[in-house]
Amino acid sequence: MTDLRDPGFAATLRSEWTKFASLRSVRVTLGLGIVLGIAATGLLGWAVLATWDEWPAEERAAFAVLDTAVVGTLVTGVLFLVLGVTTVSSEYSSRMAGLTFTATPRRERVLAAKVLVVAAATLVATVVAVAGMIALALLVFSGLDRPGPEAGRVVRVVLGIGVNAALSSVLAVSLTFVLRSAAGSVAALLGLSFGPAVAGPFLPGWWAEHGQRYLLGPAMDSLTLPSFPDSPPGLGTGAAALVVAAWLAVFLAAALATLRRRDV
Amino acid sequence: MITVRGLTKRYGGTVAVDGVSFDVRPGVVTGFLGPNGSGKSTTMRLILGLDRPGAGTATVHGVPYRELTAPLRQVGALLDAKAVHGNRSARRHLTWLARAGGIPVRRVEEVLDQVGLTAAADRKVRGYSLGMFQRLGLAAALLGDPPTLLLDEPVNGLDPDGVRQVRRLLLRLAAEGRTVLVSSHQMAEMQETAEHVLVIGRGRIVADTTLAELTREHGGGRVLVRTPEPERLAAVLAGAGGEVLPGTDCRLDVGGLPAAAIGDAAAAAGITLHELTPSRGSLEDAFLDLVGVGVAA
Ligand SMILES: Nc1ncnc2c1ncn2[C@@H]1O[C@H](COP(=O)(O)OP(=O)(O)OP(=O)(O)O)[C@@H](O)[C@H]1O
Ligand SMILES: [Mg+2]
Repeated sequence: MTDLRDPGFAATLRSEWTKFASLRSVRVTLGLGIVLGIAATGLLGWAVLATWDEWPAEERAAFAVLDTAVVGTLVTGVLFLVLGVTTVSSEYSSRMAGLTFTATPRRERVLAAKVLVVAAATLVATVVAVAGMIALALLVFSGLDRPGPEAGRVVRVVLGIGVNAALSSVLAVSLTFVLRSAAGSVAALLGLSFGPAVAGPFLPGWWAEHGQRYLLGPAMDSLTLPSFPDSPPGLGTGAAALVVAAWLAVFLAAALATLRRRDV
Repeated sequence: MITVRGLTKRYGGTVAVDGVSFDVRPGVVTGFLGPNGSGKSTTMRLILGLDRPGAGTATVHGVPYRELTAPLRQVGALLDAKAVHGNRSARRHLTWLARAGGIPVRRVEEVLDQVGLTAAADRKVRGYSLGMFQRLGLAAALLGDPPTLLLDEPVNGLDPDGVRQVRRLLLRLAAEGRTVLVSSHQMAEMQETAEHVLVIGRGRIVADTTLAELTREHGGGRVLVRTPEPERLAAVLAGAGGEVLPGTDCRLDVGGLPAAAIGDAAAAAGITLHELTPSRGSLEDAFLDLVGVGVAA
């Protein structure tokens, strides 16, 4: 007799994990992100060492090992964002989405499972990458007589960047369920990330002082990386958490509404 | 049991499905016939809750598909066999599907074996032939051992052996008391499997009847007869009111008389028959008669 018991959200989560982990391109992107991120830090470190003797004294004094170490997150950030996007867009380009929603007609389960799988993988890979970058930087810069960062700050930075990347992947997954196209979604995400910085100088002064901090990117930085790097005054942790939660809720709600209303 | 009432779907200006109502009952294979673009796939997508109808309802076991508690164990569907990610192997593909449906992963091996894909199960599906995709799609539909099956053109691209296997499979599934809805745009394909037929033309149901009834009502009623004594039989049948066209190799093409009457007349005259077949052409005539020719605008 047919077993009518609901397999539940756990089944969807395991299914989405199987999908994600069974693609070589996913494993390659995660591995490559870690390697290239650390390599970027190594390259900058090498450049610093090579020119160190010519640095003016005040610049040497201002040199912060930790800030330089995490330069590789530019690479990991973009790669993992694209990974989050393609995890969703490939369902549409292969037309497999029809099967996904036949197996799990409850749209909210598929959305939540994809978000959790991608965010967890992004968090772990980013933490590994950033830890690697900092370890390499400490090694490379050990010869300079600069004070090393204190351990507590290192842990906060590693976790902060990891959480930041994971939250960004939530955005990537939600947005791609709305747009369904990898190119469109990547373009929109890059616009969201760099748009404010590009447009900022052209906006009135009160915007930089009072408005900008409520945007998703700056709020996320205030939440996960307080006072890092030297940024304009942001929100306090509590306020930043509220603002980030509100932004993510908007994107998740848009994704869910799209999934429920639009034809697959 | 599938119940469809007043289902309507338009895409922009195109009305794909137009007020369609029907029931699909368990225990027999129901053929869903219609020419290209007549709305078969759209109807199936609406039943599966993939597209949202403009009007009307579709339920499976009395419940809209989106509200089924264990969809893969209740309904097996094959819609678009090539809609799989090319970089996964068949085994991995079926594994994620089994996990999503709460189906034991050992079922994957069973269905792979059932459709004859075990040897190719670890290859990336991007290298599959059309027939192999079709087999994979069938495996996916059978995974949850469901009491209801919706199969959109399942024999498309299969070799003769594959076609025969699918026919047998459909008959067996129906004999086990399952509800089986199978679409096709070829009447002949349904001839040996479907007991009941739904014919759709330009988004509307134009016939909902048994296959036998359909051929009787709409077919030209031509019957192919083969006998060692074609001249004598031609005379006998002409006398009984048949319209007889002589063919090659001791064949006669008979109109105006049902197969049973031809057999009876031959027996009464002591003539041996080597073949007595209601012609496939007549089924196709019935179909064309109902839906007209060409793709709807
Ligand atoms: N997503 C879509 N967007 C726009 N039009 C569509 C869409 N899906 C189907 N149609 C149109 O709806 C009509 C019915 O299409 P459908 O695919 O249901 O036909 P079908 O009976 O399955 O045909 P075939 O035998 O070729 O598979 C066609 O005119 C088709 O062009
Ligand atoms: Mg079709």
